[in-house]
Amino acid sequence: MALIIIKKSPDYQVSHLLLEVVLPQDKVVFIQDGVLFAVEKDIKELVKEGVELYALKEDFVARGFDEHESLVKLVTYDEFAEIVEKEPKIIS
Amino acid sequence: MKRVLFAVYTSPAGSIWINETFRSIFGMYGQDIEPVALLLNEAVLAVHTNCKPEQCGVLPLSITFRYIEKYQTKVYAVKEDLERYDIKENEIDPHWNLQVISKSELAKFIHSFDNVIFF
Repeated sequence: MALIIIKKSPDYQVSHLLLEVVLPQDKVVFIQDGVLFAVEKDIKELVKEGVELYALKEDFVARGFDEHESLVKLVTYDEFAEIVEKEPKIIS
Repeated sequence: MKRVLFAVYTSPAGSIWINETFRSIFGMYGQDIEPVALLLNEAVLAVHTNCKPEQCGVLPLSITFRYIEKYQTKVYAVKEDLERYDIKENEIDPHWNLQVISKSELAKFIHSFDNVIFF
């Protein structure tokens, strides 16, 4: 299990590469411009089944979105810090 | 000893990230960390013998060679990205001591490290 942190927008090939290497039971957190994945209609099809997806709420709303527009669970900075603390392996 | 993968994907010409990646890698030898480099996407252009970023005014890649040899740093490049830019085996600078890995092996490879940092 690993935590994958994606900070570049869907326009970057490296963001998609990171999603490709995600394994079931990994967690993915979108931060910075990576939160734009949270409004990609096929976001849940881009990753394997069993992968938990999150986006950083502050970064999402800072880009003009309403919370209800996110297709993945939004987490606060505190919740993000808790996820980071729990995961021994980080890919970012 | 922790194993950390340093992955770099930006072109060697016009950006500093490949040299910065290796600068970070060499710094790890002072810690209890085994660093490994992975070149992917446009970064694989760096391994071509004719790749000379100094022509664009940035530092030459060759400054890393001495330390790659000294520390026997493991350097990997993605096979499909090498093929995309038509970089043949005989065009790869031997100073990189390059090992090639296919995209299908990447997920398992990346997960085999304690931490992975994309530059």
